[in-house]
Amino acid sequence: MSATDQTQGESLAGRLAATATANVRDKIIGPRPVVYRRRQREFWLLGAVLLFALPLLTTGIYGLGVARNAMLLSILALGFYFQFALSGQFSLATGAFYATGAFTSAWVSPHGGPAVGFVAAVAVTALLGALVKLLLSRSPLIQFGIATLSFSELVFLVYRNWTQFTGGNLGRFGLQSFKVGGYSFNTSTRHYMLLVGFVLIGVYLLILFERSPAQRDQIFTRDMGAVAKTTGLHTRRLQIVAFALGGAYMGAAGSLFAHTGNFVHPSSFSTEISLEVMIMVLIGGIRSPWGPVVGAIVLTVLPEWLRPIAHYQDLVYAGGILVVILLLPGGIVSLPTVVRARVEPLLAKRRKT
Amino acid sequence: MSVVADTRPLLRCADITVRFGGVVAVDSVSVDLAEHEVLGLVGPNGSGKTTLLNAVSGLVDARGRVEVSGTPIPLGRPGAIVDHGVFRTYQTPQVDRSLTCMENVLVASPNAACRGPVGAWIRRRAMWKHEHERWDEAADSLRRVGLLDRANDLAAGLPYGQQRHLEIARALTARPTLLLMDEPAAGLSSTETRHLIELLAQLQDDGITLLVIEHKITFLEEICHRIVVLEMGRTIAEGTPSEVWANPAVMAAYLGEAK
Repeated sequence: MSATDQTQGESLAGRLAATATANVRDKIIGPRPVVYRRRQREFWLLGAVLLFALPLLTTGIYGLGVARNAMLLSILALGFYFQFALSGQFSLATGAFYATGAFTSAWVSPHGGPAVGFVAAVAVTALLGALVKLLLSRSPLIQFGIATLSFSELVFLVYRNWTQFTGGNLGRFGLQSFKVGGYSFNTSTRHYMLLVGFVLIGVYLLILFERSPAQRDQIFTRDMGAVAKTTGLHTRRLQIVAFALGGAYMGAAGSLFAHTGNFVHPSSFSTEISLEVMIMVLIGGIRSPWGPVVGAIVLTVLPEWLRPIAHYQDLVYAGGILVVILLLPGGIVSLPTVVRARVEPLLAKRRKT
Repeated sequence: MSVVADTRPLLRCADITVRFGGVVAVDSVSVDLAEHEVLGLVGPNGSGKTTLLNAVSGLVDARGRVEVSGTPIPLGRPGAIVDHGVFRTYQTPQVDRSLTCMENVLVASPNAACRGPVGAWIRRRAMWKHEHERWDEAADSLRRVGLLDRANDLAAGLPYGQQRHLEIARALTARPTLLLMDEPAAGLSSTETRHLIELLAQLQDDGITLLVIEHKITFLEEICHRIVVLEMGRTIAEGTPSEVWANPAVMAAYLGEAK
């Protein structure tokens, strides 16, 4: 993507001036796939800023709660990115994976601590994801979406009634906090720091995925269907892997939810979460690993900022989503590229005259 | 015919029948291909050439038998025949427009090591090693079709003829023993066609067997050992190019109508 965006953004004058050197340089670089050359430095800087700044954007203990929510939704959105953006699988079961991760972790953690609970949550949700995709591997896009919605509702129903596992109407409370060495993540600020760490790890894993053969195989399978099979790709296996990885991210988010909130209840989870996460990924951007995080933060913090204009809150929120979809099809993360493409020709023209 | 009868066929299609609702698109067609042979498959539009190819590669449901070197291949399962070294190209080039040329070729690499999340996250060092090998293979394929200088351009930016070449490069990367090509010269200029003929001659020298659907007669005469003519889903003639062109049934069905 970025390669063409850049060439489009260059002015004619600039291109002419650079032609001689560029031709030579391209030959020297050789055919290393362009994804391996994509620079992410500015995004890492942004990530670091986010780490310190987000709680300042909202205030007090309540603000930290909002920030925590934004981080949890970011991890869910990263999982949805695997399933939808990379693999083209439209699922409405995000909430179910989230709940499964949370209850698994809450159930396991008394026997070995939150870290064991976390690992168990990731393993169980990955397995559940693989199983769901295996069962529905022949369902086309929309049917798959509806089937995952039904699956999700079933899971919620089971969790409301399976008292031994979820604690039923009482839920599970008094859950331990994460500990690393002697350091316990047991205050709101520390919860938040822990979550930022996990979000950055999540993005980092996605970037490594992008800089590896895994992503192109996924994209080719997503775009080409049966043709991918006739080129020798094991499309079914690839799709199962992508769905399971997405489920694992959501399970991780569930576990973190349980151990940074100390309390899980069946009513904490609903299909609404699945829809929210989907919108976040679409708004943030489905062509960059940072898209889901940006989308999750914007759509979590924005309603808080809009609180003073309570009457128009919904109007601005819905209107904003429409504007982004119409003007930025690549999501909010594509804004710098879009602006650069518009501004650079203007600057070059001014330089020339 | 003698070429086929003497050796065990690399590809044997026996009594292939494909129905779409009430229409019989391919009506018990049998085709054998010897190793190192170049077979042309011709016929007017709608004669079932592409459908036969789709049946062989498992994209449409079919009845009959397909064997590669004596091993039966399950029908109606895309990708089943790929494991036996049979790859194909399409009439309309099937390239992923959102990936670069290089990536479009890399997906077909037979080297499957460290390509999943384990390679991406845990065994990264091994992944790099295999990835360098794959890049070399892919670059070599791109060089052969003359697309190496566009390796990092998006496939969407390629003109039609070059997308076709890109598809061939992808098929070559898979190291096929048999390559099925659906109208590789369609929409190419005469210079491009010339390059294609040279390329196919090279492939043949490399020991790749070819089955080519094509309309251009000069093209067929230059590369094909043998030609099979289909009409209305049936084989109406089979033989060397000159034999086939002399056949009155072919004159009537194919040359008379289509050209």
